[in-house]
Amino acid sequence: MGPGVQNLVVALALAGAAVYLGRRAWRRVVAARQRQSGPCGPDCGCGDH
Amino acid sequence: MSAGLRPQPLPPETAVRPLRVALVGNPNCGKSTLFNALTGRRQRVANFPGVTVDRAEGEYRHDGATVSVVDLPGMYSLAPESPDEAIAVDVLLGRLPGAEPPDVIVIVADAENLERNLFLATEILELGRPTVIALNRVDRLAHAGMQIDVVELIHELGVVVIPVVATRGEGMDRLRHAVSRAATLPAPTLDAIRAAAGAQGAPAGAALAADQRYRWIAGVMERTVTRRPRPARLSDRVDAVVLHRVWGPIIFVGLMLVMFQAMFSWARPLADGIQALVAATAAGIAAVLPPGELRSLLVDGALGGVGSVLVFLPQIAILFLFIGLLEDSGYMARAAFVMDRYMRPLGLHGKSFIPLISGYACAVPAIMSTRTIQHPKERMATIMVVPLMSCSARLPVYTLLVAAFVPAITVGGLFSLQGLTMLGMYLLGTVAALGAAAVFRRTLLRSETRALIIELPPYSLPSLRVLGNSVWQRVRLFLRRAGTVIFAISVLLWGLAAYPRARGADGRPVPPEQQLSQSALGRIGHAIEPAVRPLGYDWKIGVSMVASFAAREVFVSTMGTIYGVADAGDSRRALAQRLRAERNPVTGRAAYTPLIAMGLMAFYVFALMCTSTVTMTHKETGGGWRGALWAALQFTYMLVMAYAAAFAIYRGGLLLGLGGGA
Repeated sequence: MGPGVQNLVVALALAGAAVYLGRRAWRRVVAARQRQSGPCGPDCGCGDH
Repeated sequence: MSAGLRPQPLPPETAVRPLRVALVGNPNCGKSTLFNALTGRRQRVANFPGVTVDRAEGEYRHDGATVSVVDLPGMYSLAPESPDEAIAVDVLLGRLPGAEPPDVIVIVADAENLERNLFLATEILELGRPTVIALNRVDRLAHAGMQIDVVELIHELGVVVIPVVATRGEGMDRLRHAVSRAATLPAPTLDAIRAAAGAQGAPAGAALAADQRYRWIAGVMERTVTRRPRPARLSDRVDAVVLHRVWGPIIFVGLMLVMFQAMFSWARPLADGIQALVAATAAGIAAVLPPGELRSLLVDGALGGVGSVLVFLPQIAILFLFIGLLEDSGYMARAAFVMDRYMRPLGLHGKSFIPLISGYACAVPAIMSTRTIQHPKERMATIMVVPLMSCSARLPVYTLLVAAFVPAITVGGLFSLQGLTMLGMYLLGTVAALGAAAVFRRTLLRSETRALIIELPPYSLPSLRVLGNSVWQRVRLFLRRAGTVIFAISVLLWGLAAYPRARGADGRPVPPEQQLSQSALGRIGHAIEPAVRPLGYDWKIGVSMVASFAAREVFVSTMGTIYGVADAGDSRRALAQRLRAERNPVTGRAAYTPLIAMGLMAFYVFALMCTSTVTMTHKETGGGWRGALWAALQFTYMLVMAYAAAFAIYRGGLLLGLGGGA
């Protein structure tokens, strides 16, 4: 795999990670505003989901 | 029963939507186990009252129709005394906005404690809604010296009674059939009860007085239950020791000690295995990919970050195995009873103990479980201190620092110093929680502390299936976090550590350590450094601490990524070894010392670095501005405590002449 391809894959991975984390943070904010039953959900860390 | 059992057509709306069924009953009668058996869901179950504090929903198919089931928190009567009971009553009576009352109510009654369970049952029968009674745990009757005449019970109550053993899934088909049929039958009435209680003159719908209800229940028990005398149960003999004034607390502390020892000693071989697997994967990637950006991203960034967190998987599993054992054996409620004596002078109710112990796993469900505490100020004080209990997300941080800086020696020929240090961190959090509760209860949340009344469940051998499920759920969640959030953060941090690429005067790439220092991450770290320098930390720890506000484990993955970049792919050494070997490039002295590690661990004991916990506190303390104030107070007082403790340890250590690092 040449350096050009490696750089492209790395750029895509970095962009993907940034989009994923940004989207996750935004969803949490929206969910916290809307949900009646609290933040307990798949990523809450409580392990009950 | 006042009406015949001839089936009637379903109400028109139930023909097009699923039949709605609510499971209700006393706390710890097996509702959630029955819910799991009916729906195939994995709702959390344990052997103490108050496990379910919110409604949970699931469904199953029967005779081609979908049946929707809601599992409700336990309650002793329809007059709620705590927030979790209020939820159950609201759902049952259809008081929740947008939710109709259930079509069929399934009263889950513990066969061993039928008399107490019938109190709630009669109240529900008074509602005049289609009802079925699931008589749970009938397999224990013989051992308890009891026999229940189910046919007579059906006759007395005027309602279908199905004997079930929810833990083994016995009786589920009959129960499903009875539920579907109940929706088409006329609802039972309480005419017989009213007649027997001499309350015929009471206006329709008026509730019977408690003494009338108990009198009627006593009669039912006499006619349906036979008991034979039995010798003192093993459970009673065990309780004589476990609940003893002196032995009780000693046994509790001993169990905690065993748990933390196990987390260190049992997990070691497995952790070493995972470390070897991570190193082998890194070597495999290095063998396939030529040197370059992508190889560095995968080996130094992704594997450096995620791999350094994955190593702690066995310890997380052991922690949850022990907590599951304590919960399922029936010990947890007893521990609450034993510890009530010590918590009362601090202003905490004995019921606060279970949320506090649950906090060892995760503060989010622990805060939710405070709903079982009736008095608002006692509940609020518990919410405010629960996050001081060291949750499982702190475990990787403690373990990394203990493994790096505490010698692996045995103390007293029995306990490892590393295990004792871990226990010390958990004790520090626990003592801080109790101390903070005492302060809250004497200032903002002052009120009288009430006596503890708690039901002690029978001891039982923990079910391997339930235990395995509980541990698996936690392991799965940990792996999911490692594979999503921690992976993404590791990739992003690698990008910040790797760019912009620094060049020397000759235009060639600079050494990795210099590249790291001049990268975007390095610059952010140097900006943060003045705030953490008084604690003895360098910019690398500062950056990792800030990143760990996303999730505490991210501290470890960030350090893993930073050292992955700094060491340019040397994945053979574990992160702990790298930290020990780290030297200040200027002075040549050790960059990190045991003193710094102790201060850092103390910081993580006290700091509230968990957005989910802050959100949950906001909601459970009333939401809106009021909740926001409580959540802000919680975050702030814990951060101040964390900084002060880390500062005192580091500066105090320096004054005592202990090593302070670079």
